[in-house]
Amino acid sequence: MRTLVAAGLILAAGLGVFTWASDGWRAVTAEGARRLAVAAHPVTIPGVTMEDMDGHVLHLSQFKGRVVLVEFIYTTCPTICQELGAGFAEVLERVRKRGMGNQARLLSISFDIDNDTPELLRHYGQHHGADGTIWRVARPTSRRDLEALLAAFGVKVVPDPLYGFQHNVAVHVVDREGRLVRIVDTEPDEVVAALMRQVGRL
Amino acid sequence: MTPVLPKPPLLAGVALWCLLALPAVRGALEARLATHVLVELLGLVVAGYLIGIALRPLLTPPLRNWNRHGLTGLALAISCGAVWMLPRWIDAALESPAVETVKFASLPLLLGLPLALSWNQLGTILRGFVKANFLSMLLFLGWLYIAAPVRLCNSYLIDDQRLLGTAFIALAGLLSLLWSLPLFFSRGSVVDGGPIPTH
Repeated sequence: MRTLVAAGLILAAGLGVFTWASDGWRAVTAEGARRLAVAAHPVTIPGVTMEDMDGHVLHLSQFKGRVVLVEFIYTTCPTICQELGAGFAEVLERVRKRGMGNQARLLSISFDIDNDTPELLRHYGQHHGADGTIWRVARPTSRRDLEALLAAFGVKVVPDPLYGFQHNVAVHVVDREGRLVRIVDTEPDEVVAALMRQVGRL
Repeated sequence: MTPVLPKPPLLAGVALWCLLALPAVRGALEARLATHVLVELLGLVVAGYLIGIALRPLLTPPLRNWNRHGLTGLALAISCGAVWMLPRWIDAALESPAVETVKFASLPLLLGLPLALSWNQLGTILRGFVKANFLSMLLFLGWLYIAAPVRLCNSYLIDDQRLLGTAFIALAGLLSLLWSLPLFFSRGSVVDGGPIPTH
């Protein structure tokens, strides 16, 4: 009897801890946890200075008043970042078609600040159709800014001996006030739906 | 009269625990996902199990009534193991010293130790049930870690993840062999001879 009570209590407590540890069975990975946390508690993004594909200075604060879709890339990436670029090209086209060009911005941020020169950023941008107005490709200008940005977005970059880096594959939605409010998969339908919801068109 | 504790397992368990906690060892094992899980986490459970073997004589009748057939200890071990199977806590242990400390305390004390105090009391059927579930869980995890197209742990490379998946499947194969061997060689009752089931 005592054993049954003790074992039952422990199992109930274990179930409680597991429920807490998985955000109510909703997030088993750090990526899932990051997305839930952001949706529940938006994160203010630090106003760092960047350098864009045309060599222009870019302050994150200049996007205030517009919804910004952010993804992290490095231009020499052979696989995923090229898919990210193709996905953003599709999103850009739909943004234009729906006449949201004034309300939305797309930003591809390189975390490989040592190698991704403005020339390489421009090459990546041109290859995928970034127009330099609605969609810009940029890099932080210092390692400190980069670290602050990655920390705020919750992006984890791991050096890969074979391919350069491995990193989170996601689109980050920053609202008009400069707060990270949502993280979604890179599938254009999902990205555009998240954008429209944020702009208030859905 | 206080029962005499068998010293060698106690010493071995504490030594293993301390060894795994050394910063250099921790750094080396946690550099790769496969060694983090299969050497460090499993090692911590083994350390607790060894200490638990040494503490078995302390589990005298009044205390024993709380752990009949080893059910309470098994419940504790399963609860603890389930939480550490969530990939996000592997990431969290790397990022947060507090989570790392909880990891180093909970795996030996809440998983290995209660398992050692309970395993020899579990009925044959329950023991077989636990083993079968452990094997199927290893195979499932192996498949998941090999087939997942994205990183399950953001801190590790996807190749590492596939390596761990392959290792899970190899471990499942090895354990099923070890656990089924006594069936061919024993007469009458099946004697338990396999290693400790943990994740």
